[in-house]
Amino acid sequence: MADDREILRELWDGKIPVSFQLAQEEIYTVEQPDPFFLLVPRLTYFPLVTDKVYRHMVKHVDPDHGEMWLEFDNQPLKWHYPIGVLYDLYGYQSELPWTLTVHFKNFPEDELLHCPSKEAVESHFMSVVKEADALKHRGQAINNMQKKDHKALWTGLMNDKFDQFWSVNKKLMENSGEDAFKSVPFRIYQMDQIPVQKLFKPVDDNGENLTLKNLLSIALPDLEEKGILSRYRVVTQGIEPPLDVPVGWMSEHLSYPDNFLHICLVSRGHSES
Amino acid sequence: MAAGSISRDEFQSLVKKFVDISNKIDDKWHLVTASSSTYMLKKMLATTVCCNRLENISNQMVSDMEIESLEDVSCMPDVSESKTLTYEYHVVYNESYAVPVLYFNIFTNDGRLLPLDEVWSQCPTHYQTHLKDNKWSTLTQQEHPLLGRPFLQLHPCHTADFMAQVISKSSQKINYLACWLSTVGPMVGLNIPSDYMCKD
Repeated sequence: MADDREILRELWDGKIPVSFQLAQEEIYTVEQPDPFFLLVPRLTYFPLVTDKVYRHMVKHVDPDHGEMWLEFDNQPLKWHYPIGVLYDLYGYQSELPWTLTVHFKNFPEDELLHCPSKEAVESHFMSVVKEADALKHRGQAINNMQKKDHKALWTGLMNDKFDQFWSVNKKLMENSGEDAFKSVPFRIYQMDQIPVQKLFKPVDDNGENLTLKNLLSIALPDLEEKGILSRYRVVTQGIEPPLDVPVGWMSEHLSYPDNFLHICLVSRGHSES
Repeated sequence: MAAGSISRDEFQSLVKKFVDISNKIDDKWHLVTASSSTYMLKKMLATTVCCNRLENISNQMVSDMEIESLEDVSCMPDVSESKTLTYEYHVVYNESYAVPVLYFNIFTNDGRLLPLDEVWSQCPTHYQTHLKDNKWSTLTQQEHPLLGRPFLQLHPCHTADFMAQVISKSSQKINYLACWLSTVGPMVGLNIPSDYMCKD
């Protein structure tokens, strides 16, 4: 279990300033709505923090509107990715506040999951947590918990309660002896590509810790072979960790609340333009 | 490999065999490769009577190749009461759980996705009690792992336990895929002919 509580706390408190603006072509009223500003936690999901945005904007659109969705730079944003992942992937080093467009029409249902309620977010979050534990502990840690523990994880995240969340999450992060991680749950994102997810043991047959560099070469052999990995920034949680950091350590300290490491490859050309 | 789970290689050989049988009985499954993984796909049309559940449509299932002949079906209900839906099923290997997972989408005539609450309410009557309390942990929309698009997914976290029980109770070797699919498929309108159960 991660012993460096300071790091966990620092990540938990990470926030991104966002400016929400209603899509110009969807404004139905004479009066133009003001942009809506929020400081949103990196670790949470948009539907958990945008109730107020909805109420502010909905007064200005056709009453016969559809589900609300968000877009940045013509890219519809998947609500089921943590906000920090969306920012690192699409907005990394873009100007702050991060300016997003709010839509109530033409929901892109071939790209975005519908989000009819917070239950959809809870269901998604818990299914990812379960998958992560299937990888780390063959599901034993999550299955040994009671329903109220599952609920505490979810409400801890939803209500921004660090201590409540970690009182349960520490069991999922147990990484010693028999409970040592079998595989590290990770996904690697690149713009316009399907996320990469593979089995990855954090320790090799000789007991040596494997590093982020090892992970990248196994997950993205093409980039490694062509020698073009250096064209990308490797970003997670808004930072660029050194490539020799052990993946087991990363999993314990830098995972999102869903217990996955979400790593973004951002083209250097792109982020500097 | 834990009891009830299968390796990726086993999955590959199981889907190949499954599609071989499908070809023989014209069941319309075929193999597709995306993001360097192989999965198994079937598309079909089904006419469903409004407000009725999926079990009522099994006799009227037609493949997408047979749209023309749809009107010939003598027991077609009145058009005003029925709608034709397109079902697309994908069987994909999940490495985290080491089991196959069923993804599917149901499209209406105008190419839109059938909303999740309608999909839930279409599940056959005997699944409704389970769904009432567990719908959000049983059947939801997820991102397809190979296509990156929204698909409905039957959650895989109990598949290995279930298959372990089936395997331990069976005296002879079973067809893993057929056995699993014939258990979970009917919940979402997918029926597996008994031809798949025969040994090769």
